[in-house]
Amino acid sequence: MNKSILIAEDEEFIANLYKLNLERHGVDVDIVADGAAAIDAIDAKQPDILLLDLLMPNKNGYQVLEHIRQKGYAFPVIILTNLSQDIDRRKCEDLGVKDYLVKSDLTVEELWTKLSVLL
Amino acid sequence: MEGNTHTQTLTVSDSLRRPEITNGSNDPKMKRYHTILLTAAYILFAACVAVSIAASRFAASSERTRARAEFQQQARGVQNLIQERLQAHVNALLGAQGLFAAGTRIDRPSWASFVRGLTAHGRYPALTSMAYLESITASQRLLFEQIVRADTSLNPGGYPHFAVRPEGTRDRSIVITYLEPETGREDLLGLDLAYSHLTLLDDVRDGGELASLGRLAVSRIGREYLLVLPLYRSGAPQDTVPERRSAFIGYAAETLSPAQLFQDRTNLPLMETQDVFFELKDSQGEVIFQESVLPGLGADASGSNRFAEDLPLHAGGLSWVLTVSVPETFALTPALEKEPLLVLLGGLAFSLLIFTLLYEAANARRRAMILAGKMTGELGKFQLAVKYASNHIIITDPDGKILYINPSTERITGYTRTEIIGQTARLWGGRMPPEYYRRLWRIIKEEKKPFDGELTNRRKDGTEYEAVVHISPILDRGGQLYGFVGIEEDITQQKVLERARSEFVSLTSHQLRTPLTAIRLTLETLRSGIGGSLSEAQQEMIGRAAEYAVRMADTIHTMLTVSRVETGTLSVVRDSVSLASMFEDLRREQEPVFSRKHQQLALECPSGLSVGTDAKLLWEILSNLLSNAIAYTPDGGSIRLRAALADDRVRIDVVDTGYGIPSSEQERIFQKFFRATNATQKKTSGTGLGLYLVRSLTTLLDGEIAFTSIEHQGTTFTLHLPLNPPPHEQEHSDR
Repeated sequence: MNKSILIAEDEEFIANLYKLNLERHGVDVDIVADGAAAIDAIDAKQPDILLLDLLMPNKNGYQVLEHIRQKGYAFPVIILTNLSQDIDRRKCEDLGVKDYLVKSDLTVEELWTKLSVLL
Repeated sequence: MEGNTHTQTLTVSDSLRRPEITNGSNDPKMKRYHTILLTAAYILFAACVAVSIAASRFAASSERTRARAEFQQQARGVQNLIQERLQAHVNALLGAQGLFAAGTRIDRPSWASFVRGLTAHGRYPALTSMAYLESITASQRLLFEQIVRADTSLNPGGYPHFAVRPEGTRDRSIVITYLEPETGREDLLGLDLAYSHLTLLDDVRDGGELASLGRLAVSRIGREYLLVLPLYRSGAPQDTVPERRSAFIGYAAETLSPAQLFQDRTNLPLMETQDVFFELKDSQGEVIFQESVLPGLGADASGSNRFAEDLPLHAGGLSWVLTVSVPETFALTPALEKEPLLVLLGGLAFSLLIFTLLYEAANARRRAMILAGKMTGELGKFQLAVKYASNHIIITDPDGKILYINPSTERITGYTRTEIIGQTARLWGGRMPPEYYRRLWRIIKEEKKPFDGELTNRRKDGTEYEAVVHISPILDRGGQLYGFVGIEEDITQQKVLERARSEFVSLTSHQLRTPLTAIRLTLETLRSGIGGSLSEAQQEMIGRAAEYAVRMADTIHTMLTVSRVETGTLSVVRDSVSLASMFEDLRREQEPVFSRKHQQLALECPSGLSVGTDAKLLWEILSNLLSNAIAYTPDGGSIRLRAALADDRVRIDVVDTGYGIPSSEQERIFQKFFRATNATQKKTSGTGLGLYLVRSLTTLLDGEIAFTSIEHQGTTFTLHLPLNPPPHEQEHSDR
């Protein structure tokens, strides 16, 4: 059974490009477009890894992280955002994320390198 | 202080006019007081000086009077002693007179025996010889000479050469017939004193009194003085001149050395005085003796600084004058001699002391008044400054109970003065975690040091505000805590602006990065062949597009980092950073670029060398330096990245063999947006922010950056970082 990756990303085009590239490595990739949908998806089925954007409609990434902490979910979360302020980075680290990656500075190959370690 | 501050509303002109500063130097009453005191000081000083001079003179005069009395007493002692000695000589002559009065005729041996008896015990120190003078007439002269020549009663050979001298015929002669001692005075025998002193000798005969013939004009005894006393026959009446002429036999004479009167100084007063001077004059005023104890010192015997006494000496018919002279200081010890000067100096010193005290008293009061005036002025200014400060200022007791507030406190907190005084700052505080307040109290109360920090408070209306606070303990001279001064600045608006700026940067960043992400992902996806295979030319074009996307990402990243440095929103998170590992990562990152340019990148780093710093920021610095080195080194060049320990710091060099930096532009190389002219010619793209960012980040890491560069040869950038810097207060804060 393939490992599952959930991508919470409101930019559909970007999300699909990640999905397209990651699925080449033999993982199942699901996409949700906002925070509320991400929470629903997680509650329905916990992924092996969550790639979470921070600025999303409905509920933002922080609220999703808060939910995960409240529920006690143990799957790793990697923040994939274009917010690069230290304050955001530390806030996420305090909420227990595994990594904090800036999308514009990252290639898909670099992303896969990090994911493959966790899967 | 509080009573002055809570109800007054002052206009600006009021506040500038107030307080009226009283300068003590301008107060007429004060000036008058000062003048009176100074005048008193001068008058008293003059009076004291006058009294000192008078006292000194009085002391000198007293000493002089005392010394004169002392001198007079001692001079009289000299007079008595010399008088006594002179009298002794007269007595010797009187004894001779008695000798002749007792017997019929005195022969030569009897005379010699008598004189030897007198001189045997040294009772007459001044007596040099005694003679018997016989009075003869011209007719008796020849027989007289024959008798003397044949007189062997004392001298076995007689006196064969005896003759009355000087030669010549005289009615009467008074001849030295006996002489004791004869030795050394032989030429006196036969001398006829009537030849030179007949009248005087006749007067002596007729008067029956002792007389002086003055100095004897004989060279060998020229300094000797001759006293003569008439001798009369025993039993003959001598009451009248005819009777005395009738009873007259001859004279007893004595040669006397006046100097010998002073020779025995055993009991002579004044002899301890170094400059004592003696002089003897006879009744004619002729000086017959003169001597000073120290030769040459008595020349000015009657000088102005000397005491001198003329004292009469009387013995028999003699009437001499003894003059004694000493310097006025003769009886003064060195201490007594200086007494008037000491009195004067003491008096002057006392006068000066009194004057200084009064002068100081006058000026001290004046200075105190001026100082008080100034202080009042300063205090007034201080009051105004505190009163109209926009910051909230409070003064509390050691327990934090508020004693004073300025008007801004009411404005900022919303509480009235009445509500605040006597309360603590918890009235509007208490919004921070308990640990914050524990630390605050520990610093200001236990460590007695100032506290600086930021906090959130709540106004009376419930709204919160943010403030930067500075609290200082007030200590007395003994270091005891007296209270605290707290100053708060409301920075709510500042914080709002900071947050807005931060959010703007964050959002801008996000909005720039999102399309860039889409572009990079698209290009990467196309290059991977997912969308179908591409021709070589397509691959090339997409590859170039991807590089531009990366450059754009780098530019955005650099600009945002610069913005964070300048807004203070970039925090430093220190950790142990392995340099060897970071160098390898840097090489991996830069490999596509330097490989394409056929450059060699050499890494030199001792294994295990690590530095306590922020890994991300160090990466930023080295990545910038390395990419610059690669960009500005020609194809085929070499670049070295090396690290080493340098004392307690780490030194990192980025060395290239590139174009170098023109020397005329080197001092501007770290300026924002500056690019060297040769760099712009080689590479048109570039923001001019890279080295500016390098230096800013190096400073943030407590490091130093320097470089050496020679155009067309290469550049070496040298970074020094502390091995383990102490943590900073502001690190990890969000600001």
